[in-house]
Amino acid sequence: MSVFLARDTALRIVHARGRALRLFGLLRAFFERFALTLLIVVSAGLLVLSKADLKLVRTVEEMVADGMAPVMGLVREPVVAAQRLATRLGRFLAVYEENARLREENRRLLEWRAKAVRLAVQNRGLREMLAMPEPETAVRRTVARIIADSGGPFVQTRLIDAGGRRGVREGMAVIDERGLVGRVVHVGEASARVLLLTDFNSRIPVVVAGSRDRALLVGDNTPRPKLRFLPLSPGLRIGDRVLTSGADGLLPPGLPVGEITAVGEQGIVVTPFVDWRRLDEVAVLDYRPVVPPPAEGLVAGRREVEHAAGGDAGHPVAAVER
Amino acid sequence: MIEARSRSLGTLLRRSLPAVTGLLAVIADAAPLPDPAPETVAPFLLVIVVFYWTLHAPELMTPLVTFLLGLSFDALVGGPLGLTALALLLARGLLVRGQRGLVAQPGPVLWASFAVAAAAVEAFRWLLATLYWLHPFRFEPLATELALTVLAYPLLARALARVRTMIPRTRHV
Repeated sequence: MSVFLARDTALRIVHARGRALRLFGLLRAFFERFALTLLIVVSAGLLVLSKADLKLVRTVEEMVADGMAPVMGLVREPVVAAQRLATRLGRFLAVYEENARLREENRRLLEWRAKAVRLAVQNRGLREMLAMPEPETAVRRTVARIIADSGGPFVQTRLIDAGGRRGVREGMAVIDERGLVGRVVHVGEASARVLLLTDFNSRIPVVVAGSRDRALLVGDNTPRPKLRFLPLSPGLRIGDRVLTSGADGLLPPGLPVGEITAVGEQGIVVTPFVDWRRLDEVAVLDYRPVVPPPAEGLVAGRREVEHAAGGDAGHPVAAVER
Repeated sequence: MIEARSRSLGTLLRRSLPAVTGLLAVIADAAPLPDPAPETVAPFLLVIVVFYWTLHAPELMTPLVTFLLGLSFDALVGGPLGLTALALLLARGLLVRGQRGLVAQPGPVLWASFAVAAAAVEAFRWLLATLYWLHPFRFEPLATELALTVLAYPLLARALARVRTMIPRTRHV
C-alpha cells in the first residue's frame, strides 16, 4: 500500500515538473519572440518615468554610477597620465616661451596682489566705520576627480568620485582653479553628477564686475553661454568679468565665472574661465549662506520692541510696514 | 566531471564575450577625455559593438543584452534612462530583418550598412532627446559624432573579429 502511495506521489511530482518545464518553455518562447517589442515598450516606459523624475529611476541611475565609479576611476588614470605626459612634453619643447609667459603673468599677478592688499585694507576700514561684521568666508572644499563624462552631444555633465558619503549635496558649486565649472545635480553614495555651466539646463545667477548689472547665465550646449534677464540699459563692456551673484542662496557670491567676449545679435556671450582641456580634478564647495530669520520672528521681535517703546503692538503688519 | 564542468564554464564565458565587449564599449564611451570644449564628441563605440554582434552573433547579442547595455550607458553618462536603450533596440529592429543577407556581404558593403544603421541610431537619439527635453538640439555635434563613429568602425570591427574566433558555435564568415 505504502509502495503504491510513494509511486503515486513520485508520478505527481514528475507531472508537476513536466508542467512547470512546459510553462517555462512557453514563457521563454513567448519572450524570445516578443522580446524586442517588449523591451522597446519597457524602454519607452522608462523614458516617461525618467521625465516624471521618479525616485526609483534616480536610484537606479545612482546605483549604476556608484557601482561603476571604482572602474571608471581606474580607466581614467592612464588617460590622465597620457594627458599629463603630453602637456609636460609640450611645455618642455616650449620652455623659453613658457618662461616669458610666466614672467609676464607673475608681473601682472604682483600688480593684482598689491591692488588686492590695498583694497582689503580699505575694505576693513570702511567696515569698521559702518560697524559691519566680517563676511562669512569659510567654505569647506571637497576635492574630487572627474571619472566619467556625458558621452554625447545632448547633456553636458561630469561624474565625480565624491558623493553623499563625503558630504556632497545637490546644488553645491563645483570649481576648478580658474573658476566655476557647474553645480551638483544628482548625488549618490560614492559619486555625484555635475551639470556644467554650458549645459542648456544650466541657469547661474551672476553679476557683471564692472557695471554691477545682475543677470542669469544661461547655457545653450555651446562652449559659450549667454547672459539673459539683464536690466534695461546695462552698462557692460567686452572684457568685463562675470562673477556669481549668490542670488539663489546656493552658490557663494563672487566666484569667477568668465568674461564677456561678444555683444551682438547672438546675445551677450560669456567665455568661461574653466580650462576644459585640463579639467580632471575639481573642488565641491559646501557653502552655507546666512539664513535670514523667519518673518514671524521678525514680527514678534518688532512687536516686543514697539511694546517696550509704548507703540501699537496689536497690529503686527502695520508694525512691520513702518 | 570537473573537466566537463570547467569546459562548460569556459564555453559560457566565451559566449558572454559579446556582452563583455559591449560593457567595455560603454566604459570607453563614458571615460573622460581631454576635450577642448565641454561637449564631448567622440566615436560612439557602443553602436559599433552592438551592430557587429547583432550581425555576426545575434543569438548572443540578444534584445535583452542590447537593452541592458543601452541602460547602463544612459545611467553612466547621466542621460535619461531608456533613451539609448530605445534607440539601439529600434535600430536593431530594422537591422535583424536584413541580417541574413547582410552577413555574407563584403567588407565595404558592411561598412556602408553600418553607416546607415549608426545614422538611424543617432536620428532616433536626436528625435527622442528633442521630444524628451522639448529642446531643438544642434545637428553639428551629432553629425561629427556619427562621422567619427563610421570612421572608427573598420578598426573596431577587426578587433571584434578576433574576439569572434574565440566564441564557439558562431557563424564565421
